[in-house]
Amino acid sequence: MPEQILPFYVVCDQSYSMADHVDGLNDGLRELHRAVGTDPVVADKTRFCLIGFSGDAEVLQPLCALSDVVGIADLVVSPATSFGAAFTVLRETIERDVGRLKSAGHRVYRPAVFFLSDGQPTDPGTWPAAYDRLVDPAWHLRPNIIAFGIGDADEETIRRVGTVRAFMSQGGLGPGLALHEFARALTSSVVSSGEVTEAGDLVLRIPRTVSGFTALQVDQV
Amino acid sequence: MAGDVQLADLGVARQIADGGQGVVFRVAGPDGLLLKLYHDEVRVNADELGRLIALPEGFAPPDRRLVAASTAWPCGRVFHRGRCVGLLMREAPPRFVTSIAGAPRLLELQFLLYPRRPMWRELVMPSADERRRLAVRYARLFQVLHGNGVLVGDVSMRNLLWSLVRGPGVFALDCDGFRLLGRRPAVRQADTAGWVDPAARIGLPTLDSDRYKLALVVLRLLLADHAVTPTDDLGGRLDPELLELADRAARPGERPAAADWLPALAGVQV
Repeated sequence: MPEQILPFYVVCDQSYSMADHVDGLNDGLRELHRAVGTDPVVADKTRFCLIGFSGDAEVLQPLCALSDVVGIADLVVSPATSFGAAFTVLRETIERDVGRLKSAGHRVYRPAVFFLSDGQPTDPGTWPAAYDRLVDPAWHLRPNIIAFGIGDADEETIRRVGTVRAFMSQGGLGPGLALHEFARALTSSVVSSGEVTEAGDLVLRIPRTVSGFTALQVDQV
Repeated sequence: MAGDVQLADLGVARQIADGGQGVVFRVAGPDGLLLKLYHDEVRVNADELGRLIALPEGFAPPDRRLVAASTAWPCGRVFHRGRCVGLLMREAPPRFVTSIAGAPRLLELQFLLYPRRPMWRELVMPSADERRRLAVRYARLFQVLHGNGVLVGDVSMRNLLWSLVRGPGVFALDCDGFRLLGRRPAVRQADTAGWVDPAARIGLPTLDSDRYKLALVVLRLLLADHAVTPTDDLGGRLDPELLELADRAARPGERPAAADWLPALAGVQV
């Protein structure tokens, strides 16, 4: 049956620097899965995809309704932090997924991307071009990006990646707790966005504040 | 009866839900008592809340028992610095809670309105006959509320629970949105999308709009379809008696009373 669908893409840094915290992040994603997957209304209106990136990027959980899968793949660490690989795979994946949903007759809303990194890109010369292709105003599927930086992430880079909102973890917040708060914010966003408004639409809802994070000013154009 | 209490006097054990209007905590001490603490921006009419809390005392004993067994009716107001900031209510009995994917989950009506999914494959779903008997329970609850001049207002797939443990049973949450006919609610609630009476003004429920929403509950429950409405072509999906009621539900001002559904549900073929 044709439905209104809001796709969420979670793009997570799984470089070596995440080694000590990746289990906590995987736990947070399992919580997200349980909360959304056991909520028929929200699971019906949203879709979820997990992309992990390090030296390259891979789709760990292809786009799905979270009620349709009984588990999601874990993030596993490996070397390097290629933002460029992440943005390239993300654009290709969105293009393919949305095309598939539309051909099935669904009404698809602009995808939402939750991007998380704990370090600086190891491809500083090339990632901006991949990013520009992802947010190209001429590309009608360009997603709304909410960027989160923790640990050694560069505030300016995180601000630049986020198109609608960006958050940087505060110094006093340990990475484990920061990832927990990231997962909570993501879950809250998916659950609240999965409710049709009184006007009959889906609206992307993002927490204005995330505990332990500073909200960065995102450039308006 | 919990009565009025001060927030500072309550021992809060654990947060269990964070909804649109407030956060719900389990209270330390008496078993099964919950605190709903409203978000700062929610306006609470303390007088109306007090009136609502006292209301069941005036019901006939069978109605009072049914409401006590089937609703999280508020049982106390919670004050902080002279302002009503929350309420106390009873927790849904354990029979309305299940375990899905290793975590406790309220048995919300929504599970009965969507096709079964792998994530809740372990959930024991009602048979067609049990769906009918659940529909009877919802109609009975509405009948008692309406009979005592109470409107439900916001009806949704989340604030109605069901159970098959010890026979079909139902339970209503978010009762602070209930109101006496002709009076304002203690707390204003938005209508849930997909559960709005097209003939009613938003936020201004009437007996007729409540009856329309009961029709949605009955039809969606019987047909296991979250989107069906009385205006859809239901020929072939319901028996003639129910079809006639659905047809009336589609006409503002002529919606069937809760009691009208009971005989039709007694021998229904779906």
